[in-house]
Amino acid sequence: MAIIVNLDVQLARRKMTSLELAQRIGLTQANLSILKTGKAKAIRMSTLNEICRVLGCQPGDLLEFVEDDHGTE
Amino acid sequence: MKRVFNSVHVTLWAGRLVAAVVFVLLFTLPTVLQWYGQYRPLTQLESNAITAAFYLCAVAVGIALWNMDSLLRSILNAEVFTHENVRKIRMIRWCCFGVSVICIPAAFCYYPLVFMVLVMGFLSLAVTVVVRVMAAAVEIREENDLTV
Repeated sequence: MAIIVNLDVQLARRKMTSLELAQRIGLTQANLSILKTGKAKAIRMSTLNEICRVLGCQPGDLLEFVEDDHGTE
Repeated sequence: MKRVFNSVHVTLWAGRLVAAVVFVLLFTLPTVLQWYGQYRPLTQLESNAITAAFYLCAVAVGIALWNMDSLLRSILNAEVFTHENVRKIRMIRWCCFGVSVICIPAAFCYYPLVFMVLVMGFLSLAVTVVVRVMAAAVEIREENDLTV
């Protein structure tokens, strides 16, 4: 996957647990885990908005593009 | 959803009824051919061609009915858009195609079997479309499941 999700880094910086974030943004822990582990195929704008609001960061702090051999997949 | 499940139950039992008919025909085909011969006399070659084609097709029909039964049972368990179901429909498609191919040599001996070749060939084509739709639906479902 060429898009890296840096959610765990942002959580560690704020000393916040996944459970707390999930509860504050109204997402299940299972879905947050999908996002954290990079298994997610898409992210809703509303979810991104909530994460950025709760963590006080920019979408660019959470998502990072890394060139890999397989292009976008 | 209850209405869908009811129609699935009807299809499930219709499939089992067809399986029972095929099973009975496995043992009674010579008698049925004799009875049919009273209305439309069959030569020995025609009779042999029908018998050989039927027994060969019965294998493909059995596999198709087994997959159909399994597919319908998984739908009843609310497991519709899965890779396993795509594989089952693909198998049914190959069985239809197989019946069509098996009937080709027999159709040279007994011409009405040409109808069977065409119908099963068309059916395998139609099921191919269903396979493509189902495979696309599985992709969409997976993407939907992995959207947070």
